[in-house]
Amino acid sequence: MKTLFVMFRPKYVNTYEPALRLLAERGHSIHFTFSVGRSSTGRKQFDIGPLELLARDFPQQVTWDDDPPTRDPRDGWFGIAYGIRVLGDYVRYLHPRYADAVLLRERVAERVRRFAKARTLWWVLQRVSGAAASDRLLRIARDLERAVPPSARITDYVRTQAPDVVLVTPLVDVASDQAEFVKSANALGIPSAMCVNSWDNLTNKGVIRVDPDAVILWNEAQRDEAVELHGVDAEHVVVTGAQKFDEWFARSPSRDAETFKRAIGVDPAQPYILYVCSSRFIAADEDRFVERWLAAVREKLGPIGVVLRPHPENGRIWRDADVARFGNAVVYPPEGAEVTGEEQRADFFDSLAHSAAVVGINTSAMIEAAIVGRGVYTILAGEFRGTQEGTLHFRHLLHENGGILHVAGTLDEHVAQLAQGLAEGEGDVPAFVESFVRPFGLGTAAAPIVAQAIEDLATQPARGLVRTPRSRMLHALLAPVAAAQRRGAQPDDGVIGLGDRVLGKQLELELRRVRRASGRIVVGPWVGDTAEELLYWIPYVRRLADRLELDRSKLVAVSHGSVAPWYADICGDYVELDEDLRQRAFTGWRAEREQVRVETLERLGVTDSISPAAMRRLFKNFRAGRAPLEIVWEFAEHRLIGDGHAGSGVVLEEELAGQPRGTQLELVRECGLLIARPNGLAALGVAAGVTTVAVADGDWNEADVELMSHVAQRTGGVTFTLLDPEQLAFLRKLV
Amino acid sequence: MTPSRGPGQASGLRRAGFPVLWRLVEELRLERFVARRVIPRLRLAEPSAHAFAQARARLDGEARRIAAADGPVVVGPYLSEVGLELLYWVPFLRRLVHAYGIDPQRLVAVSRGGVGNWYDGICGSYADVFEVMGEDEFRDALEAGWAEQDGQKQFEVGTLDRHVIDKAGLRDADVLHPSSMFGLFSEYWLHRVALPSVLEHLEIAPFTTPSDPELEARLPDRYVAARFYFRETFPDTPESRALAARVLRELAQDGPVVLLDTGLVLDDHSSVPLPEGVELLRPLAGCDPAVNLHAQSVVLANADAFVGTYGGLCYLANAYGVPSYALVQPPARKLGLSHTPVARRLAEAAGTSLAIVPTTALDALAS
Repeated sequence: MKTLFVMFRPKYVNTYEPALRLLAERGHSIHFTFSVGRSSTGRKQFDIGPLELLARDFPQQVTWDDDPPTRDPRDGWFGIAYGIRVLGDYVRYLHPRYADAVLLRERVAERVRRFAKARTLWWVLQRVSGAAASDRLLRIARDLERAVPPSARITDYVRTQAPDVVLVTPLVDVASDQAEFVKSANALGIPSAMCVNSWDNLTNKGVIRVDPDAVILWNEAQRDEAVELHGVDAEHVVVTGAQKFDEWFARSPSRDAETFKRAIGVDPAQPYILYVCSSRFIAADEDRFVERWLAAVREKLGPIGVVLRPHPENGRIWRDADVARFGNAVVYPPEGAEVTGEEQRADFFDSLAHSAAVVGINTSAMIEAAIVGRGVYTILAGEFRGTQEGTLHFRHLLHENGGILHVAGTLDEHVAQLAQGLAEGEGDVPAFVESFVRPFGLGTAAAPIVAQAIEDLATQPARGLVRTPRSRMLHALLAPVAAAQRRGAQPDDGVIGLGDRVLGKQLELELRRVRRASGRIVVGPWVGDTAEELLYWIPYVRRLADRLELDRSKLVAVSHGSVAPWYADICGDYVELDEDLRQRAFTGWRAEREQVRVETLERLGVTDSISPAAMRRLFKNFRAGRAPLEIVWEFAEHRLIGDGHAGSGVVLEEELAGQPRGTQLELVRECGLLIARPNGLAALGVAAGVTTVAVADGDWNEADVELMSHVAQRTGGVTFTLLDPEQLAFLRKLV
Repeated sequence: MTPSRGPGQASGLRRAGFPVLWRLVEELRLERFVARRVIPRLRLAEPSAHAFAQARARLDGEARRIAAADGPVVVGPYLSEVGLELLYWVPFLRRLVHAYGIDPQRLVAVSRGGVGNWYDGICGSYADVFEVMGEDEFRDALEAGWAEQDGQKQFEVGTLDRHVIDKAGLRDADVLHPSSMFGLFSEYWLHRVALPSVLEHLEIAPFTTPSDPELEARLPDRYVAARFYFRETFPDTPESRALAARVLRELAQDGPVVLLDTGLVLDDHSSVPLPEGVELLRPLAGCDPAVNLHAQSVVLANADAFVGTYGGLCYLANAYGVPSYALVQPPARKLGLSHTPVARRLAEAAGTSLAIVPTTALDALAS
């Protein structure tokens, strides 16, 4: 049997590794493909560690690629499908059960606002309320999804892979196009399944928009969610238990408590509380809350140890945290760690097993704590209301729903609960663990059940594409729209689409009114990152000012970080953007950015502006790898900032940290070589005409890197190059 | 296969097209109406899109015809730059064979320097130009061909190409000429087509390791392969000479260095003079031209790393899973930056890496 497993990213291999290992041991092969590696958004690097472990043990059976196909933008259905998906995901949050889920709803609403520029549509959506209306719209969205034909490109891919089973996880990311794989599998008559990766998947993301042959999930509670919230037929649900937690039932600590405590730096004579941090979405500024929490714990519970375990996706907030001042408290691991390799797993388990109690806001580590028999505590903090009580999955943990959480409304109440729990000592594994994690009994692992479910699936006939009379009718209505889209202005064959060129011309036309303006014209405000400002925004404004023959004395650049010299050849004046405004715009939704723009214009007493939003639209296809470099050369003009570099020696990114951006560029100009990550600082080197080595240690955008290479060569006669840390080390050795 | 036209014509069409029309619209003050109401409704494309689409359609027709026929097919002769052969021509053929179900046993790769190994799994047999021509005759004919085609790229079936096919006794065979590849990708090299459109036509994969027991026996167990030669991106300047010498000296202090220099002059690249007093191995000196690229392949495939001038050899090292460090002298305006994303993918496919190193960076690091 061959399985094609479509995953969002390789991290998900961790979840299914035991089941997949069983399949491989039985001689089955598995091919993985990862959405996050798609080249449409540039070359992304990701940790394939868990996958490599599996592939090392089963080299003949485990294969992968990181460039799965997407629907061809030229097939006409691309935009329609995206619109249907994002709107479908939004309308689920109009149901009264999500009344408190403000953040969840806003997360999808922003995507809707970006897509649905038509105010009428937005006005209508704002007025939809009630369970019946939400359910009706969801049904329409499902029929619309069925009206979209399978993508030829993805169907070809699946056909070429020739799997016996197609698995997809998580499938329900907001507006996710993973549904295309299920649809193509259905069209090819290949059985498919959605694998529910985590406890929140069915309640706080998007909806299951297509009909896989099976939905493989953890427990009866999730079965109810699949049926009630996603319209899945109950007979297509397979309950297996939570295979991702199997390991914790069998594992013992890798070292004794004293050794562990010494190793991480807490007092071995004291018990410790493990604070497990939540994801960025749940608690972005958790460090501020933890500070208050730590103070309360220290005041009431004396010298007890505290171990703060950062969430791996939000580890950076702990980089400069000083928790030592609270005494007997550590952040460990310093910036969090994915629980992937053996060492990390042992670390994670030891930290749970040797703790006296576990505290958190809303994270799956709280379930893991319950598995090892630790008391689990939380505080209903006001700042996290939207991501605690406002999420349905959090409710599984509440006592009234059979959950495990000791919930407190205030810090005082919470600390009192902790004190009582610590005094009472360890308890049994709660019944919740059996019902939620191991529904077939605490002694029954989930992985073999998952493996068996996948094998069984391969022997079942596939249900094929589901089409209803209404979906056929909707297809007939949408087909002409798709045909018009096909003929429309999408980039054709990766060449500059007429759409882009016409857009460029339209922008110029719209800006001709700016030329007629009698007063000053604001260029900006720029609140974004340095790379985009230097590579796209400033060159775009320069070309525009040339083409429209704008009176430069009227142009007022508004940006941040004391960068007046960057605009010196374009604008007659420069205004530093108020930092509060910039923060609001940088971290806020699009509406917030627009508000900041309006406020900036009001403060300056100016009515006309050249807005970065138009520039973003123009270069969007290039930055996504869909349009060629020519679009940039046509609508942007790059020049060195200042007179080029005049120095020697090497400057490292770390040496520039904390300086205003304007100062950073001056410092870069004085060196002969800049070594930085391929982000804004690398763009500074290019703009200053300095040889730049970008050291890639994470995600980077291939289009930006390509542009930096060209601009460095064109304007500064220098070279921009991308190296990895190992290559840089070799070169250092060479000289 | 019908030769494709060169990039110059496409460029001319493009420049003559849209801007002129737009100027007319502007003169008539119809810009807003045309931009918003007319153009989005027309099924138009850029002239460069037409050029690319035409090349692709031609290729598709030819590939279908070849797949449907039987009998031998000459794949080549490939006589252009080594780098483009590695990055584009071989992956282009691999994709073509797989996508159209062409029987590899029918394909006869024709190239030079004994590179049959590069076509493993793609072409059933291999014929070498040096089997039918001597070294001097080839070099003279090649230079004449460059003059005939205004450059090294084979946009058309040239006199030399026909001569090679005839002499190899393949006159009656069908021909899949490199012009089909050059015609398709030239718009990309001119930045008018985005990368994904090119990648659609490539199947990038590492090469199988070549074998030459006699040569391998003369190689150390562990070594770094190196070759420095002058070209536009590494011009003949005192600084380049000094840097190459310094790098070779540093490398030799750490372990054996095997030079890829053959002493042959088969293209427009001349080698950098070697530093004195440095122990450098030259197992390829006096190498037979008919196998010179094969021999370099063997040396590269067994090396720990390659260090040298940026060019085809650094791609070749990568194709064998060997990391390469390629030096360029800024501003390196002929660097061919459009090739680097493809080169990066070749390195990734082979599980290795390519470092393009500006000499100024080395100087700065040294200081």
